Amino acid sequence: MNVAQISELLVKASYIADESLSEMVWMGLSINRPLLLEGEAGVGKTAVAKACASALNRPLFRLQCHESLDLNQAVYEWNYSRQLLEIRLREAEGGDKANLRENLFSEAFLLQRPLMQAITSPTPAVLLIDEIDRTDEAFEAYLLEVLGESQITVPELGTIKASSQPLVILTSNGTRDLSDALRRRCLFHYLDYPSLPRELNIVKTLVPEADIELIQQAVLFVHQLRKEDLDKIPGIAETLDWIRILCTRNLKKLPEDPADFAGTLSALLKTKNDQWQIAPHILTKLMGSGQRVGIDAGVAVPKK
Amino acid sequence: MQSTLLSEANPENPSQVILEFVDYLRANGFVIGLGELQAMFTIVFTAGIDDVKRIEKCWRAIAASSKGQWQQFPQLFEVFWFPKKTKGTTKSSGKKKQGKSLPELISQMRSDMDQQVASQATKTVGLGASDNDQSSSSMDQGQGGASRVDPLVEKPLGDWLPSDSHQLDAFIAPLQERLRQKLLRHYQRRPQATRIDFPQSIRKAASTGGELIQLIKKERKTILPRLFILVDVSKSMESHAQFFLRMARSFCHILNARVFVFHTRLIEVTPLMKRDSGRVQEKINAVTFGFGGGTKIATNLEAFLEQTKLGPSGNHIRGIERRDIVYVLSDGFDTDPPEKTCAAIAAIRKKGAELFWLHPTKEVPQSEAIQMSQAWISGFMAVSHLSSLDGLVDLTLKKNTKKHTQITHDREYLWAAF
Repeated sequence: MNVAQISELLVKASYIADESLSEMVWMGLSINRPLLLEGEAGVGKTAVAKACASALNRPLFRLQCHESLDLNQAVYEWNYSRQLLEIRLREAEGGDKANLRENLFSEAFLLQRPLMQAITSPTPAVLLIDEIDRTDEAFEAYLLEVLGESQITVPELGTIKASSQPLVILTSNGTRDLSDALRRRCLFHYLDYPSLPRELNIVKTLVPEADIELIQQAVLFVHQLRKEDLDKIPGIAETLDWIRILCTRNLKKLPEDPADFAGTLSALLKTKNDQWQIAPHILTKLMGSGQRVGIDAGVAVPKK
Repeated sequence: MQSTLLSEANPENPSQVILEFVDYLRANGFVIGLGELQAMFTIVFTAGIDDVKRIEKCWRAIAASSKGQWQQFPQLFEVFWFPKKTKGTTKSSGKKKQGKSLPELISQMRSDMDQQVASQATKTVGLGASDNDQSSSSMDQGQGGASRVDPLVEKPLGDWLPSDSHQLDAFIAPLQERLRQKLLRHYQRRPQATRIDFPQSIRKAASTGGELIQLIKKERKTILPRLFILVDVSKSMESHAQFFLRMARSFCHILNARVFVFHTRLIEVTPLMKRDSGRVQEKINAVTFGFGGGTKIATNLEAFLEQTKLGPSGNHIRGIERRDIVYVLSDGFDTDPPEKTCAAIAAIRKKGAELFWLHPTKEVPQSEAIQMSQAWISGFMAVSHLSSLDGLVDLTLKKNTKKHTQITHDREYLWAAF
């Protein structure tokens, strides 16, 4: 599979990837390396993994990281209830206790969690380790074995090697510095806010019901808004939400009076400070400059 | 040009050029081990060398490991492989290897110095003592036409440039490591904890027919003491306020401190401190410029006590409390009555917080208000240059661990009595 094919498959899976991202996915598949995606919230990091799973027709296993994540939630856990039940049944039946002792800690009594599921999946899978920067350093260190060797060690069973090589995608918002050891095992890609043409493509693909003129105006407006000094800069996810909201109002283009759509801006502005800062006169200015930028970029037509 | 990436650079030994490129990246701070090198070669063999842009993208993903390196890589790639393109521009001098890494430079400097000393020793053999004295004294004067410059840590605050301010982080970072954590009443589950959570363990045992198989353990949650920085931006502090604001920015980045500026009014500028851009600095200047009249420390400290009870969105949160730390960066000149200032400082201390007064003057502020409040202030410190921040960390930690020591002593006493 080459890069062009990967790009095409991702587009079919509703993800418009730029060339370097497609290249990275190709590399991840070719040299079996995990991909580390870093970037602001809402730029489409998690969506890459979902799109890859859909495009490559692979099962997706997702591990959502959080502060108190432990091995029981991430890798495996012994099924104590079933073990007890098995003991009681054998006692009642008067069966072979020596055999029971050997079988009690076998794979039959193992509850597999996402990491183990991805490693033991009979067909190659996509493993998404989402927001890795939220976990502690101990868990990060544990991941080194999984990412580097594609294997998991269970003390009672030994080392379980991957039966198929999963495509591992880690995402990080950069809230904490990840260790060099982890970074070095991964291919790195910084996902930035998309360029104007790319964002237009994304919105056209994901919100096909929206009018072209509305999409152009809204995307230009968001691009201008990102240049403002905001606490939380709106990402692609916010742009999509906003345009969907505008569509539900049956708008064919952005109203000329900003007051008519000011109420919908809560989809873009997520803090009190940002909402206070973007006053009506700034909205008017943004709409005007957005039009000019659009004409320069060749995505908007000058008004007659 | 694209097809000649390796062949033009060194047609006889292309792998040697790749190794040189890797060395070049390492010299620019990239961490490239054997694994990365192997991956780079694999990509060249798999993808071919025809498409330079493609190799650049692939190598970028392998070599970069942070946003900064991700943004830096294309420039380094171009400078190394296409020096002619960038020759004459500010990007490059056309040389493949621009400079040496810091450790290399230091080792070279040391060897140069050793050689210099050795050559001087050789030269002075047989010469009079006066010549030797002259040479040693000339070392202090600066050599080769260069004038001596004070090191950055000794530079007075007024001479600081905005570009120097990144040095502040290194002085404040130890505080984060060494501040004693505050214990909260809430518990969190943690396998490594020592306290058993019996209710949860028994609840969990219900799934195994009442057999207590897995013990759930818990421990008290901990957080760092909250830090509050109050920067006086009055006329008398004009030459120091910029530095203090930079210092506050470092506290905000590293220790998530809340920052307030005051003069006649008090305004929280924490959201502005989190982003470092020219526009943000303009906003801070605009906020501080609007103030007029005399400094009202007491009024502002009272307002501060109330404002700490409000979160960033105006929501009600827990105000200042035990073991929180307040730094007031001011020269102490106040137009409020001294008794009022004393009462305001006492009110903060009575909440259990520590209050440190950082002043730009060498001596403790002589104003009546400060003299009267001395008993309530946890510590004074003159901040005249960067190295004085060392003292700040020590001063804060001394107070931060004092109570702990006291508690330990009390426990020992009780234990002995028992």
